[in-house]
Amino acid sequence: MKKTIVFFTLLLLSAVSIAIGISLGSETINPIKIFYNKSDLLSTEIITRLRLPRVITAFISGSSLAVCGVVFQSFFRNPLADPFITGISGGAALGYAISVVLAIPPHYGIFFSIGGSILAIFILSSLISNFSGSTSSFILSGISLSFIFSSCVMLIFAIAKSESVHKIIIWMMGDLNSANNAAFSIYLAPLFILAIWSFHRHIDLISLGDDFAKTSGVNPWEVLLIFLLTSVLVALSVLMGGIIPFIGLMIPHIIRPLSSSLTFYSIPFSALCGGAFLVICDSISRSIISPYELPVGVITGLLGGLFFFMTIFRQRSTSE
Amino acid sequence: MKEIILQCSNVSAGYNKKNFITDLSLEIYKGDFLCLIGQNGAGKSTVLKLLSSILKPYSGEIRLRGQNILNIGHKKLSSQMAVVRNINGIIPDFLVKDFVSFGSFPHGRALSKIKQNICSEIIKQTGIDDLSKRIITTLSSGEFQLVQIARALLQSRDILLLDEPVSNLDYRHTVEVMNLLKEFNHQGTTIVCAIHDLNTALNFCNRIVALKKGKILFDGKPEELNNKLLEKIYDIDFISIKNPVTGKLMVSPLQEVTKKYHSSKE
Repeated sequence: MKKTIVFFTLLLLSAVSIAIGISLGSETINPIKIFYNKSDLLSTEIITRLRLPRVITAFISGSSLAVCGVVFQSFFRNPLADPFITGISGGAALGYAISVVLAIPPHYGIFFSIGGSILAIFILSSLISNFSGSTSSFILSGISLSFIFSSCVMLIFAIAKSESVHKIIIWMMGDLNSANNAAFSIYLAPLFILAIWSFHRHIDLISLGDDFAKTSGVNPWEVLLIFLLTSVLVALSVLMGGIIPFIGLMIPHIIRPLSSSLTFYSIPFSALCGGAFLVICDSISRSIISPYELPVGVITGLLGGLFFFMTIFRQRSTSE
Repeated sequence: MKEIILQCSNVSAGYNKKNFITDLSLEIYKGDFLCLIGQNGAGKSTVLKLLSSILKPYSGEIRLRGQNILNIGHKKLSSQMAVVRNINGIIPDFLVKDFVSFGSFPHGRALSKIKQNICSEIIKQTGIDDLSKRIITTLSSGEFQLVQIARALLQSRDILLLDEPVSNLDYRHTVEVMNLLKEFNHQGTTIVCAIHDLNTALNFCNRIVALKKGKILFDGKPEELNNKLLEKIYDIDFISIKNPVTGKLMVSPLQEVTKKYHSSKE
């Protein structure tokens, strides 16, 4: 019963966030008025061509990051694990940085990001296939890969022109501007979320340790498959909105006390909550210093940091 | 003639290419309640890891009903044997009934109506129905051990492998857990457990295998153990008497470490 209430509340929250996302911007538009007054062509154009695609991108990107957070925190048995622990975002960032330095147009530059993500996934899978599916090897491989990629990005920063560096930094802080997005990610990401959700019982068993999962009947190739599916989902979310911090870390922490630890519930709940959260953050980033835009990562990072402060203070006050 | 259910043939195994078990051969029969005893580091947990296919042997073979366990898929293997070990690290806040239901994983994807009934039946049989809506991280060690056993029994009633199932437990919970295992052993479950407390092993099991430095030093019935053998296994002196009530052997270590042990170390 409690879970049904939580589910419908999150569904409502998502609908409200989408409505807010469509309304807010450099000019506030009431979407209900458009629905009744179809002659307002400019507002209709703004909503259907600009804001709606962006809101959908933000929602799916937020959902993907939150789901990856749930999976990686269960996988690595570490509540501080986040989607960017695998080094895939580092690969995508390196690809993007190379494309900017080479002055490749954004529409083609995205293929460099994809290439970087694929390269990272390929290196990761070839590294971990030698470790017979142990989760600690995933985390170690991911961290080493992250360091290597971030060093390469820093090298590019050191030698590139300042405007290129600025562009890369903005993207790395989270950029939901649809001109840079790979449209196919929006269609693929929900499919990957569903595919990962279908392995919810495997993820529950993995969250109790490698040996527990193995002796309960989870095959090492299934562990590898879930890891790869989640890694690709991270890559897709990076392609949609750059590197958006804190969502993958924070949303599972918000959802866990509201639902049960079973991933059957926490995956869909986190998807809804993560989507709604990013849409609201994006709306704030678009309207707070209108007509200019803040990178959405600034808002998510700020709110995420405040959330963790609050959690620490709450834990301290309950323990005292 | 008893049916051999698990068989280790000339198995050598260990960690980081170092042998912990050397040339071990062991046959486990259907209906055995076998306790592995020995000093810390004797190889008890390693034997259990080998039997459950967590650890691959360097050489030799382990067979489950005649089939090499390395050739049996994890799912099929887990439907025939369940393992109870300590879970280290962060444990998620699962409800007891959800945790027990994980035992049905190798038998199919979703918990069907029949499986749910079996799950509630196991919860009743193991006497944990009043715990079923509690969160596992709030349970005491004894309660969690019973919950772990319930999960394992849902997974398989054929073979149970338990690594120190009663360490950290008080007398009451030790007896409760061992009685439960004994009851299922009477119903046909083959049980292999590594155990530290000798008296618990002597009271409940019907076969003892003593290990020392990865080799079998003794394999027989509990009543066949004597002070001399125990001294060899643990390198300390023991006294043993017959329990006046049960007639079973009761042992107690003497505080003084044997001179032989000291001299061998020197």
